[in-house]
Amino acid sequence: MRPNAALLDHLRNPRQLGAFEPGEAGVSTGEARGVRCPDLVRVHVRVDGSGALDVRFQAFGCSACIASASAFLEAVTHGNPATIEEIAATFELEEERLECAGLVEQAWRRATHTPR
Amino acid sequence: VKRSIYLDNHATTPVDPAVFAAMKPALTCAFGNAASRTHAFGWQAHDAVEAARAEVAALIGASAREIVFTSGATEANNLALIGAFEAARSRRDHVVTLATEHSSVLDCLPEIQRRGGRVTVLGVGPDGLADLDAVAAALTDRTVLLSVMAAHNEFGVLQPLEALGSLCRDRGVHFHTDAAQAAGKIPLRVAELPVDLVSLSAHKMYGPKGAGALWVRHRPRRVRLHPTSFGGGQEQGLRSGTVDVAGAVGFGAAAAICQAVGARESERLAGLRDKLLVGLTLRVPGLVVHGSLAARLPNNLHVSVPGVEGEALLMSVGELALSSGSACSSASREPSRALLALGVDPALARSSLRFGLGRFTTEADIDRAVEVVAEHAARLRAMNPAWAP
Repeated sequence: MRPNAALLDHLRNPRQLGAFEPGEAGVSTGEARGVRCPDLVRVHVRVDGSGALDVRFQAFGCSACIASASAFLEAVTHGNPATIEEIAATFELEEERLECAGLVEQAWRRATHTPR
Repeated sequence: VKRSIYLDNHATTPVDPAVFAAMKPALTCAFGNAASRTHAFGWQAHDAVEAARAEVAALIGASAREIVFTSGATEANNLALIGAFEAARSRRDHVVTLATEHSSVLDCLPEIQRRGGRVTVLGVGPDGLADLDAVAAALTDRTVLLSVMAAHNEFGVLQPLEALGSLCRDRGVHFHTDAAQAAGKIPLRVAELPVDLVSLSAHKMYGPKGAGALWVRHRPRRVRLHPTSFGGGQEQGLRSGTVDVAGAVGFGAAAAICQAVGARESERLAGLRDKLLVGLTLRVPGLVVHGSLAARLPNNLHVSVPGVEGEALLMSVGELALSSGSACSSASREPSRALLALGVDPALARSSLRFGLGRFTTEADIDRAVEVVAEHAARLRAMNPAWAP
């Protein structure tokens, strides 16, 4: 795969990377693993007393997996959610990378208890 | 933009400037067809091809007429396997090889089966070396050929050609070795080795892509091969088609340079490779080396960085040109079958990085490679929720 500049930017400077302190109040975590490969994305969502939302992610995976997690959560944070299809188009991902790219969305849905 | 550091010399090597200079006339004024017998253009091309043939032969201590020019090692491997099988099939119809061989050997096997032959594919030890007892047990009086590569294209492991060839000699079996990665880097003297067929590639030794050769033993007994391409009967009828004069000339020049500087170059590259290994071991905790370190090409290092996806690391680093056995970095989307045949866990194969040093690799390149691999490995491990050092 030949990564484009947008993907490389997210891969090298991931947004919303990290986790919250163990046992911190108001944190919900969701996880997703690849079926065809062992990619793993964990999304942590924290809601504080005022209802403000903070999201973080951790990931083990290929460039498409990591960069898509970063882009997806950046969009969520800015109140401007993007679909995986939109992100994949921005990154010019090949069809077979959609599974890796989509893990963040699954993990996000699990963390926020949002059915598809 | 940072300068790119090229450490993928097992994939291909840059053309040596001296090789390019030698090739230029054959691409311009000396354009003749080496098979044209009626004018000076043809004679000149013929002489250039024959001089190149002698240079390629000299690199492995062979006689020039035993060299059959091909388009590369893939074609040479195909000709060795299919050609030897077809020539002997009424008496011997069985081919033996290893699970770690290059696809240009392994993918001949279904074709041999389709033509009514039988094949045996043997495993290797965790060090990547052939099991001599298993090879001995696999060779029968129906075996026509054993094919084992001299140096592995991924993990650089050197097979015991002498011992393998002796097993073949005892049983009247031809021994073919794919020396695409080995030639020019380790000494290969066919007069002193019990080998019968050797595949060579120009672009792995600072020559042009599209040029290769199959060495076919003539003495004491000529190895019989059936051609795999048909037409003008060039290359002693074994490889029809107009000879690529510029390619052959470049291959010859590359071979001559390797013969002159190969030993010194290999010593220098082994030093740099060891420096790379020490540097990575110190800076990347948990590093795993694939294959034997003792029996190995001087310019190869193949490691895994557990907890990191190889493709993500390579894309992340950017300035290093390396390859990975990771499924995500291959066109086939499958992890390296050679690494899996070594018994490497698929997850670890995913984290693999192949370093191939070359003639133009400097000590500064190695220092920088250690620095950036260590930095990005640490960064990617830190974002892996499952990584526990």
